[in-house]
Amino acid sequence: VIAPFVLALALGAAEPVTLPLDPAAAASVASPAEVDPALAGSAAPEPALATSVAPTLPPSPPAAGPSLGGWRHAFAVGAQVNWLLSNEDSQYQFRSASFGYHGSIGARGAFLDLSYLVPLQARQDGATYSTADYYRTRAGLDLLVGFNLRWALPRNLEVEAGPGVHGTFIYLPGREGFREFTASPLGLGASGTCSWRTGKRWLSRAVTLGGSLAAAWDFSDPAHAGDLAHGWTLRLALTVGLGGRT
Amino acid sequence: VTRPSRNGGRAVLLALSLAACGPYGELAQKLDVTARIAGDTWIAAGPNRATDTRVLLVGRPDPNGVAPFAFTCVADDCPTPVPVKNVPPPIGAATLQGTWSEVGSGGDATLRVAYTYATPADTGAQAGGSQRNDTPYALHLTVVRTGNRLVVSGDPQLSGTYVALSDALAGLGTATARDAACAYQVASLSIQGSETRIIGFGGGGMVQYRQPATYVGTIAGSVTVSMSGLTPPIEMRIRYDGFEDEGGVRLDGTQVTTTGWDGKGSMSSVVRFTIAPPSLDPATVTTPITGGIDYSGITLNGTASGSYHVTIDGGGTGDVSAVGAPSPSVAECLNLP
Repeated sequence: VIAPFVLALALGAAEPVTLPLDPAAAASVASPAEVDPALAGSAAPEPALATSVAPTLPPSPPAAGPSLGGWRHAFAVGAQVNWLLSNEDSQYQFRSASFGYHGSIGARGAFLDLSYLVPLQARQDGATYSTADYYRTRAGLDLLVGFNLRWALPRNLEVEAGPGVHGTFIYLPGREGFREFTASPLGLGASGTCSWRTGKRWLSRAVTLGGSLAAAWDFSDPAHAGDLAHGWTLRLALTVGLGGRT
Repeated sequence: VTRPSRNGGRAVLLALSLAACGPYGELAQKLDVTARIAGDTWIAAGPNRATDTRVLLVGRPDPNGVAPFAFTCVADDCPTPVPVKNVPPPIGAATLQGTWSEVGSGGDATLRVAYTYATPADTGAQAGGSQRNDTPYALHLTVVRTGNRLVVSGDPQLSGTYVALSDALAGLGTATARDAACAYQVASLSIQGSETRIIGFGGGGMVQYRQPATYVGTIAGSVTVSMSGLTPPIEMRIRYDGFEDEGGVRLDGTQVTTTGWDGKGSMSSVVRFTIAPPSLDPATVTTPITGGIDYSGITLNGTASGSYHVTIDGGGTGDVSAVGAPSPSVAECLNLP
């Protein structure tokens, strides 16, 4: 949880956006003469150097924002809950910390949510267990791959959402003398993210902060003898990412 | 899924496939919960004398008259008093553990069962294998002692006319192939009892023994389960160290099962047995029967085939088929009523 806040503070301390410094870009900036023909001849043309022009320009208006196309990348930290109901009527619940990556391409394109899970607490049929007490390793993976759409909203917000196929793998090898538990439910899900362009940029991309929500209905676990009657997955996370090129 | 015969079942139960992990297990479940018992072992034939055997171990009572007990049934089907998750019938072997108390002189006994174990007769990577139900419950029995016999009634699973195992073992011979087969059948009862308590035995859950686990013998010793190799050949080892679940029958040695991902493979190595009936009367102590069960004749190809080669030290040898009902049966070997 601390990591995204530290990153947000670092981003907050970063330099604000400035005009491009490369000569080619600077050359494209209109000279005063081009802006007002009356000024023509009143002064010798100055070399179109960005360094000399930039300070004289008024503050740039709020950017129109990057296009909806291109890649989006984000790192996510959050919490995930997996519910499983077995064919023997046992109800399992796993509450995990999640550390993930969200990537998508295009205004209408593919997306991928990949999270590493650390199951912290588990429940079965009403009994709750701290996983650290019974399992020597607590790990899991969650993958949601699908197709999503992007929308631009006011106030520098951008939303993505779409359906996909889902899989979770939970791996809990027991401490000495205790039984191992694994689960690998598969199903269908959906993911949605809302990101806000901070006004900062990095690697020529807008830096974003946001949140994501993913949900899935799981209905198959072929690696466990089809013991899964059905299950649900819900993940909520904070994101720090890179938006479109600015 | 394999429905092995009882003889062959012990080998088939070991076949695994990493392609499946079996049904979901119990969370935070302790693997071994067996409490040691020092007491008397009784044995009876079930309704089907050819395949059904019941073993009852009752410990010394405490000042309150409460004694620990363990009961094991090995049969074509051993229905348990309470269902055990992921073990559908027919149940090939079952074990109950708890406490035994008798009130008054009328033979009324109350069994408070703490743990119920079951091994499905149908095994394979998709099966759950041996499982345990930790839900406590009580059974009420009537127990009448007549001479060296214990007549138990009141519950169809436990009912029967039991004889002291030490007395029954005293009648075993050593010279012939039949004697060797009988020694195998007696040792096999202990082996099957141990397998019922090995969580996941006979199912895909055996993959958890990548980290070895040890289970204590009810009377003495231990059995350690370990698995090596995630790619073929996958080797499962079940090692008995002075293991004793029934008074007078001790096991030492290792069962080794080597398979591919498809569960096909073979068994190897030797488990040695020592049959030494305990007796309080030194005059009746007999020479222990010692020997070994060689598993190298067993192949696994969806089901077990081949035979167990049994050798009695200084005595007879014989091969016991992995297919078919036990022959001779335990009831025949021990002259059970």
